[in-house]
Amino acid sequence: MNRNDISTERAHLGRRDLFRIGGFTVATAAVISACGEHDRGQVGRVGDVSTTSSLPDAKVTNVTLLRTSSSLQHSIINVYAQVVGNSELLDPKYNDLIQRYIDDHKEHATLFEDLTTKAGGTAWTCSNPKFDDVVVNPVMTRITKGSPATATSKAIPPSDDPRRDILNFANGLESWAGASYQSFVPLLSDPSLRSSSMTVGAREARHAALLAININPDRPGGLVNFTDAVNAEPAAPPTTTIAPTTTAQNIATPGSGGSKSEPAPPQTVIPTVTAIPSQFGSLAAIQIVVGAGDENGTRLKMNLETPSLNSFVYEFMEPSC
Amino acid sequence: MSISKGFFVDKVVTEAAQPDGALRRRLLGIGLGGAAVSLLPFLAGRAGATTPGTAPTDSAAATTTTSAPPKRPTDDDVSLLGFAQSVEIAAFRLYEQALANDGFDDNDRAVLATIHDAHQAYASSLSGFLGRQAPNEVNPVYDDVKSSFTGDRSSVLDAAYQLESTAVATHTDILKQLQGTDGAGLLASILIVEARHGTVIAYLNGSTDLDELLVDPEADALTPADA
Repeated sequence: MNRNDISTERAHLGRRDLFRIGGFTVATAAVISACGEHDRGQVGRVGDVSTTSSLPDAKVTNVTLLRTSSSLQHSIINVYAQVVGNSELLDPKYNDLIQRYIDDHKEHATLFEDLTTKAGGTAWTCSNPKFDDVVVNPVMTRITKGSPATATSKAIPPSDDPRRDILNFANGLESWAGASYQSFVPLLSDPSLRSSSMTVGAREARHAALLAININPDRPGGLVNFTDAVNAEPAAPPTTTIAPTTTAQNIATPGSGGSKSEPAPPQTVIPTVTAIPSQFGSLAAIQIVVGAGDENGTRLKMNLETPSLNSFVYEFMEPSC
Repeated sequence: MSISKGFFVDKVVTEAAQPDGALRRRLLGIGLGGAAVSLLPFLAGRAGATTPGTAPTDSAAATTTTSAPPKRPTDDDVSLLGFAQSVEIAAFRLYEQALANDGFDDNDRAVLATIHDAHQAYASSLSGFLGRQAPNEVNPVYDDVKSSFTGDRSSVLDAAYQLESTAVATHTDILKQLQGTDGAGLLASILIVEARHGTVIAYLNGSTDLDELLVDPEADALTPADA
């Protein structure tokens, strides 16, 4: 092989040839893939890979909000259905009140279901699955059964005062429902739906207020927020007994737990409730504290937050009740 | 190019060995590659994905989309919110009348003063929201019912109960017409607490009737046409 031959071969496999081959390869792949089966709008894939299933379309529409609205009603109805007529969980003197609340919630659920249908959606007639999993079931279990022992903690007994916990939970649920409908107002695009939402929200707020009046016997502390009352009449602050904002309730009696030589740790303070807790409707989380304390005296604390992206009942969701 | 030296002559010969045909092929290759690259984005969009029947695409067309409503109040909203403000001004002035009574104990007074302050805060918040467009007027309902706020304890509480329900009904009615979400959100945060006011006032007045305590039925709404 002489020098001329070598030079010629190098020219045939030069940089330009590699570009040429590469370009041809890409063009061929694109043409081949374009000729295959495809659906408009899908991202194309080159090569042989396993198929993927796409996530459902999760849009927050009026229908989504209305389905969520009816789901909240069913979640609350389910809680009340467990306690009404059960004297261990609910003082019988509140049976009529809770039964009235159930009737109201059924009416509200029907309203939202009808509105969902009118808006072109499929009515949601079940409870809110996310809320049930995260709030309702843990709270009810902690009140009625306590918590079993684990490798790192002792068993927690059922609530030391189930009736107290159920009323506080009911108050929390009603306040939360009212706040939820308030939170939907800026999200709903149709003004008439906002109005319907707040018609129900106002009713839930009244449910909560009436429960607070019954739960908290302090006056005016059970009626109005202490700070608001003092600010309203700074020259003449109320002279009646007013519950401080963190009244310690149900302090564990000595000897009820722990060793004989050590007093039982104090139980988590249960927040007091007020019929008119603030001047404006708050969208902040509502904290409830229920159940017996664990070995450290810590009760179950739960924040009830208005529904958001992870608890909306989207249009693709299928009811399971 | 010099051809005076043998080595370079060879090189020239080598290049000349692939004259027109090689150039054409090269240009063709470059052109094809360039075309392929330029077409890639287009082709990729419709390229042959083989995923069968799981496309998220056209189902979206059936979804009811929510068109974004305006945040700021429209001109009509300003009028409606101004009307709402007039109701709140009338309310706190009526509670001023009520608190001038001697017939209330400390407990009543603490509650009524708190509710008075709340209505004043509502009027202020609407004033702040509307800015210079706030009418800052007293709704005629003030003149209509002020005599009811100067009687005995029970009749004043009755009148207050009715006033709160009227305010809730009025604001709920206004919500049906408001386009802007900011104003709607503010009004919702007001009416949900006014709803609680009614229950507390009914309780203060000694009611044990559930319908009354839950303010069922609601009073009639005031409308700008009434003013």
